[in-house]
Amino acid sequence: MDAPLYHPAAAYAVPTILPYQIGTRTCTIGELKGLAAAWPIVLKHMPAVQYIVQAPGFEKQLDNMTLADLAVFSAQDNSATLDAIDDDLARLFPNKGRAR
Amino acid sequence: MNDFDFQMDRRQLLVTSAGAATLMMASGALAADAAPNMSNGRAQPLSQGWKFHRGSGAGFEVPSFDDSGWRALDLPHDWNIEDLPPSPDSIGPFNKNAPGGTMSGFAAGGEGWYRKSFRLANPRPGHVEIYFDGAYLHSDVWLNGHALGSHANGYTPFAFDLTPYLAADGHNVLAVRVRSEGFNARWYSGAGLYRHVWLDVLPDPARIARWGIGVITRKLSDGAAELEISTQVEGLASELALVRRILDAAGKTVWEGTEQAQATGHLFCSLPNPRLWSTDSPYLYSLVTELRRGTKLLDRLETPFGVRIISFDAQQGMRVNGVATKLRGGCVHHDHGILGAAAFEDAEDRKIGLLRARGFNAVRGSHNLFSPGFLRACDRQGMMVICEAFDVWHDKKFSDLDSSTIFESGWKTDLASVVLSARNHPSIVLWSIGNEIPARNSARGIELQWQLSNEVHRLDPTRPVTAAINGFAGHEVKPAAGSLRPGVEMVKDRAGTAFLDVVGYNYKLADYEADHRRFPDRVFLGSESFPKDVFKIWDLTERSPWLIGDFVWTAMDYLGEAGIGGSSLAAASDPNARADSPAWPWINAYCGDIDLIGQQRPASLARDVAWGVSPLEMAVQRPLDEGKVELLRFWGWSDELQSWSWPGAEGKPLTVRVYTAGDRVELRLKGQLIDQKTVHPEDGKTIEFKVAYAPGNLESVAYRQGREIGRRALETVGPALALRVREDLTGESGARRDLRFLSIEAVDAKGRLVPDWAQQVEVSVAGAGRLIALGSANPLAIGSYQSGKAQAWHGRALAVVRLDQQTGSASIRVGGKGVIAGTMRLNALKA
Repeated sequence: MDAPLYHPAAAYAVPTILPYQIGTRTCTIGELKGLAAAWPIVLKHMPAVQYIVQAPGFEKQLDNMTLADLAVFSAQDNSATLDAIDDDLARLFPNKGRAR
Repeated sequence: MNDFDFQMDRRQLLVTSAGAATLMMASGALAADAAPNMSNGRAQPLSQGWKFHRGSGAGFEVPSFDDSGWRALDLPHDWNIEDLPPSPDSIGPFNKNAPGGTMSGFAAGGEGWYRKSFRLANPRPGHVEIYFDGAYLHSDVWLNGHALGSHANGYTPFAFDLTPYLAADGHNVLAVRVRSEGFNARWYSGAGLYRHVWLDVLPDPARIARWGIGVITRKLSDGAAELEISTQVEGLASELALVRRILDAAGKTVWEGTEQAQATGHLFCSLPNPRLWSTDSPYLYSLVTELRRGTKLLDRLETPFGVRIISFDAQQGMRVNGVATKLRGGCVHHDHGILGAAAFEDAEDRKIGLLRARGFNAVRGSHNLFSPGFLRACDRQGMMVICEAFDVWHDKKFSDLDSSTIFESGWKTDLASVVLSARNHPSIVLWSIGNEIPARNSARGIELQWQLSNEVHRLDPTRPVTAAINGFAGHEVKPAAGSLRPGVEMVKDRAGTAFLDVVGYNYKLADYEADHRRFPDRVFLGSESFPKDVFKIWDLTERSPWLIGDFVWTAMDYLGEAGIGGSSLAAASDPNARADSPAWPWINAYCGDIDLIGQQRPASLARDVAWGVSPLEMAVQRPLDEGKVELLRFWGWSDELQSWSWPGAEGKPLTVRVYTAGDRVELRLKGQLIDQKTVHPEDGKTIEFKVAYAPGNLESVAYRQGREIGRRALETVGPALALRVREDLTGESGARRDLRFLSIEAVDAKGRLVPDWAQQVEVSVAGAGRLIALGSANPLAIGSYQSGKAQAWHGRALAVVRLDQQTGSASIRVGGKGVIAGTMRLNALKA
């Protein structure tokens, strides 16, 4: 039995971000908040998010959490609401973005 | 043979290398020579006989400063756990205005100064170095008034070369200023020289480099282990030889070799018939490395290590020496509750012993390097470790004073300290480069992920790298081929995980299977999880080779992050009610399988069943007031007790919860069958009964396929009659030399624990010992941990006694109002 070895890589290169759908499970809250057309949809379905994102210290989570991640900390099951937001967002942003 | 020159004997070397460092402290601070005469030797304990002043001042580093008014103490020392001056805003060591608030458990921090005198037998040695296992937080060090330097990471070890500033007459004075100011920690960190300090006195400038020895198991085959030993030598001169011997656990030489010393050398050797290190059989060898010039011994180090190979892949999971193994893990912080953060080896040892007894085989040191004593305890007791380096990278998490301020300038040095100082511990199975890192998905964050992973691989290519990812793991990315480790072919991963070897998810149970389907070659672990998900998690983990284990938050309660666990009551009529967020005077997280003084909490009962430690456990939810419902906090658990003593609740329906691996449970009250239920797969091994409370004996019996597999009984107890004192011997007794942990219980006339007794107990110690901590697991600040008086909680308290004389004994008396006092005699263990 040989020990596995984890040798260093040669050099860093910025990875290519693959196309993705705009949605509650695929984008951070910060991204959705930055899309002028998307944010009203989020607030229409989840008005409480407006207050959560303004909470002290939450700005650190904007780019580390999706709405689905945030929903884990909710008392109730929000999966239907997330699906509804995703349906609306899919109509608004029907195509995945480009690789970058 | 001209061997010593080094005046450390075999026992001292064992103490130093195998970790029973506190042995050297057993003679006590006040009896010790305040200015010991230090001879040649590596890692000589320098933890005895320091002077301490809490506060700031001028001229404290000056050798002639009169410190006679300062307090004498031994290390490790944490001033954050010491009582504050009486004030309306303070309770014991805690202050309601402390800058860290609930996060740091209302610990006050501040500034403290330490001074220590020592003499050198040879005032002109070749090289002298002081080594700190760790100090919290900002440390400045002087020798004889000369500033040696500073250290800003509160968890990494550091050293200073004393040689240029040694006093010609051999009399030297060290001064250390430690500052822990402002909101700099989001958990209880401790403050001061909370870990041990050591002195290297070497006769020659040539020496084995700090952390310069590495031992790797490269291959296991044909009844032999192929080992690779790397050695770095500093101050290299001609005609130096490296003599190496490998000793088995009994001290017998099983391999030896000699070669000419090089600045950096690699040696391959074959160890016949090796005994392997595993969680069930944590066998340790020791590599003795000697640097010699002819017959003269210049330096000598003992390096404990284990022979084991651990592999990871998504198809076969994790294998330890070829045996499929799951990480039955728990996260832990580094404090020891009522002892604060002082890193006593005995306390580290006990913590690991407590967890081993509950079936844990792995811990994640959250979120920093733990003390050497902790890692040694894990080595000895077979506890695997995720060794974590950072809680923050370049972007702050919680405060302008968090460690993001030193990250960009210091990460490479800090990471090297973590990896190189700890790499020979066989218990460490994974390196973690970060926990819930802010901005990890930004361009700089992704680059740092690569840099940190790559640096770990450069320093130690034998272990995989992980990180604990909460929330969004990043968009899907395709890494460039050259940026991946040799041999890795990746089509895609997520930005936040692309350069990790094992992906840790925090609280993302819902994503595990979907992300496994998306990235089938990934190896996953649950790096943090909610206690309430225990059965779901282990159901999935046991049937998924790609999911190698889980680490609950937390395995043991801790100071700080006050009140994230437990539950609160709300009006049943309010559908939007949420569990409240505790504030002052809450000081404990109030989560964890084990409470602050080492007792099982209810979540642990469920885990016992999930892991097969027990076939059946039973607890009763505390009766709710009329119109109230219980709401769990995220890391909480229902307020359950193993109690059937609920005076005032007669006739009321109480919730009895039974956790079982069986398929049917019977419930009997006073010998009469009152209910029985079938346990279905969807029940998650948890069954609830509603039982009208009546004093007596409540018993549950579990069956599987018609056969009884276990029974548990709870009895209504009488009033507290006496205090019972028992020594808690949990842990590896071979390491216990200094601290004794005494469990105090209020018991009734039949010797049964009175579960809600909460009166004051008073502890006195006579003889060669002293009380250093007394307290309970109460999550609120209710008083001092050091006054000798404390309020019991749930019928229990814990006293910690330090024996001051290695061959002495101490008598303990524990009294309380209206109860018979408990007594105990402690005899020191002879080494």
